[in-house]
Amino acid sequence: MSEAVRKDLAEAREVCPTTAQRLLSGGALLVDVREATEVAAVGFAGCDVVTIPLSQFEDRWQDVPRDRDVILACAVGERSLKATYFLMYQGYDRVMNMNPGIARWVQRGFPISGSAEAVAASEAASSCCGGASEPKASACCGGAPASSCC
Amino acid sequence: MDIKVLGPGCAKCKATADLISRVADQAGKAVTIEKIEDMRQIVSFGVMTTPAVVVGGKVVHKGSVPSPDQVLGWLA
Repeated sequence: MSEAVRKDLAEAREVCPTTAQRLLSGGALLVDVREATEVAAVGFAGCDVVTIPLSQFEDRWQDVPRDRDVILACAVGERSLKATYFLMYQGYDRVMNMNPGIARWVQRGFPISGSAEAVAASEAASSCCGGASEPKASACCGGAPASSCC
Repeated sequence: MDIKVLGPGCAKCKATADLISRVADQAGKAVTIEKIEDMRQIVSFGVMTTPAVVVGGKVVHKGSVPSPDQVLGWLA
């Protein structure tokens, strides 16, 4: 199946949407890992953004540039955290996770495409286990963190 | 034999661990199953899709509940 080697990964760097907005204004790239239907309903705007759905991430992670700051984002910050760690596993050192995700981005009034009302559906889709989950707070099937700096 | 089941605690991850335990019992093989549920630890094996199974430090399966025959193959 795989000759993957286990690597010790440092704690991922996380930024709130406000900090992310500042970094994006300074040239960082936003990678949205939500699925296409979610992105079509409501998307990040006003910044340089590419979409690589988590379901395709193992095949397309090499599309992410290594030579600029990259912020990964999703609905609540759980799927994008997984993608962040995966890029760290692949040797990326300029990646960070946006936590929370687009829900807080919308709350802050930052630019979007589509409808803000679609955020709730995107949050509901924020699971990595096809809905057969028993959520744990620290796992990728968990819900959004209760609070953050912004 | 040490076997790790990687997954965030979902139903498929539990089913995978239970299956390995059951097949090992039936085959008379002694196994130690460790569940790895922390996302950072899961991805540290280079795995994105769960459940995944690590045998002897090697990822032998990922993305679904394995079949009993697959498990028997790992125990051989």
